[in-house]
Amino acid sequence: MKVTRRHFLALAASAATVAAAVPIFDEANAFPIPPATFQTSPLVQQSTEKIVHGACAPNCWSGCKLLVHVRDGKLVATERGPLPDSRYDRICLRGLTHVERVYHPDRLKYPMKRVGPRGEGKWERISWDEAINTIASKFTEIKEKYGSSAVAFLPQSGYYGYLNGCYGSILRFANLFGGTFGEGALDSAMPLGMLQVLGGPSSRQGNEAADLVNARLIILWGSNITESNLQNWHFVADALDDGAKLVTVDPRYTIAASKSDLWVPVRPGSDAALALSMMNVIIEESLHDAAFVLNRTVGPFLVRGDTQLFLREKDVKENGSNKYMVWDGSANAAVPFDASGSSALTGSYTVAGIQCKTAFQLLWDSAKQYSPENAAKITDVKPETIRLLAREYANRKPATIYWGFGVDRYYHGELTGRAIATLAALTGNIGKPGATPWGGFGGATFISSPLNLFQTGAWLYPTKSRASQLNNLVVFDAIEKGEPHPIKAAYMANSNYLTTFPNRNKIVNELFPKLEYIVVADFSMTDTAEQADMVLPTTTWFESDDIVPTMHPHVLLQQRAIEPLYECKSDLAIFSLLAAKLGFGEYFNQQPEDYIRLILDSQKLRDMGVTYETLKRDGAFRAIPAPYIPFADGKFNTPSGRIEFYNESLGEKMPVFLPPIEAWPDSPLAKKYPLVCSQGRKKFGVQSQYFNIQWLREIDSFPFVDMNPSDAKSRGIADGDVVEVFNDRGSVRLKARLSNGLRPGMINISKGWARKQMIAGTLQELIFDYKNPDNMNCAFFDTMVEVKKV
Amino acid sequence: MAMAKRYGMVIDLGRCVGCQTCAVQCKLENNVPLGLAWNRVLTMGGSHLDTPKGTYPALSMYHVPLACQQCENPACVKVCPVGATFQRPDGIVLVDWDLCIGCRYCIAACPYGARVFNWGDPKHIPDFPVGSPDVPTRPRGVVEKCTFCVHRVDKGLEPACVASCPARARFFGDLNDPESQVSKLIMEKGGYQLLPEIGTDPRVYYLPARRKGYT
Repeated sequence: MKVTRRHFLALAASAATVAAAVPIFDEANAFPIPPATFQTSPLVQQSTEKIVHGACAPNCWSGCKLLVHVRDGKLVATERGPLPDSRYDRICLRGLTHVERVYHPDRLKYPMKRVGPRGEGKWERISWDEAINTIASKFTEIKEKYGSSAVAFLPQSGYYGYLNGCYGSILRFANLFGGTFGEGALDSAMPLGMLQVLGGPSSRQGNEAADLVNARLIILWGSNITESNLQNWHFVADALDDGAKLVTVDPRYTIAASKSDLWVPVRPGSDAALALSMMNVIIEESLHDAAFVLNRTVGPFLVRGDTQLFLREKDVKENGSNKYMVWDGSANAAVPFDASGSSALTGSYTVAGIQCKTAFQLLWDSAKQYSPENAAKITDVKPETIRLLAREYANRKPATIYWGFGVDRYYHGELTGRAIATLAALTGNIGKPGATPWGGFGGATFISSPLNLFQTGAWLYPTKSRASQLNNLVVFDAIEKGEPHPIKAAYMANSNYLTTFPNRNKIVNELFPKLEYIVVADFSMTDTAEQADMVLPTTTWFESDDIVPTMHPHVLLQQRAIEPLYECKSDLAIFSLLAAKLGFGEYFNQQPEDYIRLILDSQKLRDMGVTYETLKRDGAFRAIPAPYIPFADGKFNTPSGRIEFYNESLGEKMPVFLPPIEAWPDSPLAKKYPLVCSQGRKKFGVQSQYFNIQWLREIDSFPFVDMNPSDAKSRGIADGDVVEVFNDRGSVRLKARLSNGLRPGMINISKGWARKQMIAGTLQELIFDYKNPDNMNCAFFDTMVEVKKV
Repeated sequence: MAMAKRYGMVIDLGRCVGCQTCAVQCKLENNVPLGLAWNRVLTMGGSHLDTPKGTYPALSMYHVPLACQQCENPACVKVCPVGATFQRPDGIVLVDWDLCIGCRYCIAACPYGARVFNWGDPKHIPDFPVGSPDVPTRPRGVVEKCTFCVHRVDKGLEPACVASCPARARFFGDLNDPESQVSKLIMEKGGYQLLPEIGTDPRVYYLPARRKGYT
């Protein structure tokens, strides 16, 4: 595109229009032009500035190291900070808005209790004494009436600090109280699928992000990396500068797609079929890594036709072992896998009267249904594109698949995880530099626990008392039906359930009324806080000490940069007050520093020379081995010790494609509600955080629904029209934005806007909340809607 | 004798993903009031932010961060009636806010739309100055724009947007030194200027956004 001056002027004008949508200065002040002479003054005459270590730790998982600048006792800047491994030094637009966030006029400043009906917005300022006394007596009352697990502690991923984050003092408190602790149900189908094929120890492990530079091919699969995982993009860009190829699989034309050598515009929810078709091409064209499949996967293991279980030695030999059997080509007989020098990878065999096939043969048979021509009908991807993608993935090695949670958000999300892990197994693209099916996921958050890096046991479980740890979807059931036990009160912190969980109307109208008491601790008035009986003002991340694990290899120190503002308290401070009132104050009577020392008091860290003192000096340390390449030893923590693309313990033994149950062309709802409703993330927020930050709202001012112009035209909708997006569950009113980047037949509304930013309704009331017992994960995109002009 | 320095910037549009970090960093570093932007990121594609041109699925898009182009031959300097807009010996174009009378001729003259005007009393959240202590406050009625972060450059630091770019897409250095990173990038990767035909000779260069693709 040739850039002309008209471009800059037109775009400058449109930027001005956007700014005008948010009143920033009043017109009365705009004129007259001020006098011709005046004095400017230097910003700071005599000031003292100190710089402390900080961490940016919301649920983008990037965990950027910050330097926090404090001038005259006020936080004045956050700056990209240095890490021991400088490749991970970065910051993004969100991490640069903390000064506005900390001092935002809408911050909660003191405890408040509800004085009107729930959700009406009438509040009365109260003292901390009254707040703590009220909560303690409510919780005690509910505990006596229904048992301690009737009080649920519901954090989400608002902050990752070990003291004040989602698995911090709230879990310690929940354990001591014997309450319920809600977790999961988000981002968990894909990790489960990967785990079912690859084994642990963590359900979230891939090569560390810096390893992306070693890949010759990177497939961004349902990953909106350039917005929601922005901090890893520079590694991809390095790989591209070094000659690697980039593929993006996404129904939306994302910025990542615009950077790619190949964009695969797949039908929403059909990713597993695409992966299976790639397997079809790879096997049919013998592009698979036969040695890897033979030695590192269950490929050669014989599977019984009658039971679908692996054939064991004991099945065919009296007093035989439990060893898996293979077909030995030289012996022309079934032998234990470790006794064979020439295991067959393919074929059908009869062993002691039992019909068997190799697991690889079964995979091949299964993949045969997914020829590129057949898969094209499912995925709407051209057969030649599928062939190109398959050949590239098998031949341009090492290859990394960097999937994102776009593919996780369907009812059968874990099957896509299994399919992608199986692709890596077929081609040997795992456990090597540049080769992983899990790009960008090698981080301290999930690896430090299996490495026993921290004394989290002593910190989180100080006594034998345990919370009832439940999947959030089970928590909802417990509130609704009293099973497995009643839940009658909720304490929410670092969480905003109403903006981040599906079927909001059900939560507000059916679940919350069953709760006798709701406490929300936050630093802004979120949609969830609006529905609380009591709101507690918390500190921001920079007002209390903490240690913070990240999704890169480092763990960071968060130093208290400024004193708590207003009457705000950290989660730890609030739980200390509550614990004292509830009679277990002796477990909450130490200073943050003492608890940090407790968490750091492990043999591993002593061996690494990491202490609180070194952390205060460096602000961070590398927590996991360098380079972090899981599975490099070829060992897999599965029952067989191999990659189990055939998993005998599951209902679906092999990856298959099962269509989304709602968001599919022939689903029962599709006639009435023909548009798939996706909610991609934007760089202008993280989950529901940053929604009120003016520096971001100047660029991204208001919520809108993105539609393809063809879908808009057929509904009489013009760019900028106010529309209603609706289905049987609910509706939301907002502006329509026509974008050619949206696939016809789908819409997108970015996640995270607050109720009051919509014209009416909310996004999450549209969303599907059926539970798949196989993955217990929220399937946000498995939702159909219709749009009409209002 | 070594040549005097002529500072320039290179922005690699192949690496730039339009993330707006430079835009927000600029607001923080320079305590830019609400409603004004010295640094914007344009979408070259559809008519909205981050949307492509074309018809699905034949689409294209790239991003162009745009601030003062720090022209060698700046139109804004020529039209300023009071000498408030001036060029330093190292080439950096600045506004002397004590001299600016708010006539906005420079805004009309700038071919890049890079200058903004303080129509009202500057508003900020928070209401105290943030960012660098070395950047002067600006009252209402003056024209503002990117300074190449002279307060940092004069201390030997690169501009804040270069330091914080998460895509590592921005580079800063001496265009008079053929061995500098910026000079080499321009030579080796085909650096180009915006609107080269109008003779402003910007010292902000862009590297092409294109990808080769599969053919």
